[in-house]
Amino acid sequence: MDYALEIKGLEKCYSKGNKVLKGIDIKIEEGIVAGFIGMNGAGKTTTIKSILGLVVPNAGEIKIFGKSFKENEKEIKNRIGIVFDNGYLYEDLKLSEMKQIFAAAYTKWDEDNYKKYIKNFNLNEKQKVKELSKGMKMKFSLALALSHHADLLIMDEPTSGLDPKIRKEFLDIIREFIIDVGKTVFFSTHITTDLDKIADQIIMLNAGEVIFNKDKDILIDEHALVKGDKTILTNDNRKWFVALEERGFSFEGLTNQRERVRQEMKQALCERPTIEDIMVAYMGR
Amino acid sequence: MYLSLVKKDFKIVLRGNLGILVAQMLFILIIISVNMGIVGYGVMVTAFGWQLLLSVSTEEKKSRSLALLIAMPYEKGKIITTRYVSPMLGFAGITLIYEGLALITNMNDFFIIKPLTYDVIAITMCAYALFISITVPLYLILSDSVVRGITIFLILGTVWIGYFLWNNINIRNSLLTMTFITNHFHIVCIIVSIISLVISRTISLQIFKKIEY
Repeated sequence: MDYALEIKGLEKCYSKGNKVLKGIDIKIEEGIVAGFIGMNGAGKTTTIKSILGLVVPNAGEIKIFGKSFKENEKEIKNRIGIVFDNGYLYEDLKLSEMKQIFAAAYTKWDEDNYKKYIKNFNLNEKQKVKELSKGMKMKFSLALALSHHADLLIMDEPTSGLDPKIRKEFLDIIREFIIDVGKTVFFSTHITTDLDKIADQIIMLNAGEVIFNKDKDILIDEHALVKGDKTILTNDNRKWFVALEERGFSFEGLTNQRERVRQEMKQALCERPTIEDIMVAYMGR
Repeated sequence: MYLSLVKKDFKIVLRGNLGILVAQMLFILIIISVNMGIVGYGVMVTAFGWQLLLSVSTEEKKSRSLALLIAMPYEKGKIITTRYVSPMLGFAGITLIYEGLALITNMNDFFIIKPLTYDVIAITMCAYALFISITVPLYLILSDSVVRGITIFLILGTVWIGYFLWNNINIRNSLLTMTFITNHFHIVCIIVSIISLVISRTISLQIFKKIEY
């Protein structure tokens, strides 16, 4: 099995005693969309920055396309497309000038591809980056990230702050990108509905630790949102829930023992949870 | 790679600042060159270098664009080298502009701007290279406002010391007494410039490698 990204025992400490990443392990197969979720401060951005060489990890190993990042940094970066939450683009430069910086850096820069994206996204190259709206800025970042035939697209909260229409367009572009063989997407987000739509794998981080790293469908199938009368709750079956909320005469909870709950709590109603239900439940543990 | 980064630096400094830069240069030429002769050239060059480093640093800190450059296949060494290449090209550009203006004005018997000699260019380049060598690492580790303060004192101090030495000690004659420097004046200036830039670049690169974004 070929992995686009392998992270082993990644640790990062910004100050003494403040461990942001506590030895995380992540494996992402080639050809999938992997969503990276977690609360603010969980360590998502630090993980992405470690992958891109923006922070120096205290321990751990990062392999991209099966090669050590440290030893093959330039070659690997040439195959990665990056989209940051805030763009990190030079605000005072025109789009065409910003493009020149990208074109000079990547050996496989494809001007025709770039022009195609610029046209599709209705971007005006004569505009300055600071004159673009948040949505247009993200589209421009995506155009830059996709114009050098990247094999791995890494994005840090690319859809945050975008309106639903632009978010949909954004996700459509990701879908189109992933059609080609061997293309992989790894992105962090708070908007779990995006993951419901396009993710194949979900990785959840909490307080610097990977809580789960699973195929999205398996993850959803393993869990159930259970609702029912409070009287059916016992001290024993309470333990089957990841999170349980009791209110008045009823309760609502998320279980990771779906079959057991179905068999032994027949009066309860089991529903298919969303990724958000699962994320919130694990966060509240 | 270098070209795109250098072009980016010049676009940042010239865009939106062009009017101020031209006014600043004219002010220096008229006020300083008239009263202090060739010092105007030194101040003009340093002012441009200062403006370039400050504008680029401010822009990169504001938009955190250095993080983007690092995430791209740009080597850290090349990013840092550009920090020195751009101001040194600025030095060459301003020298040409100054010399052009001196030639034009002198052709019309209007001797406000003194023409440059090789000695002046060499010693100014040496001082400029030292200025760049000190400030580039400072921009990496300190906030722009702090560096701005330090730079003002650095420029004022350098100008004052230079002017004082020129008038009182007659540095040219002092240097002429030293046979080696007499024969290799330009080479000494170039070597000092290169050594200071190389040492500074090494320090900057080490700092840059440790910076986290």
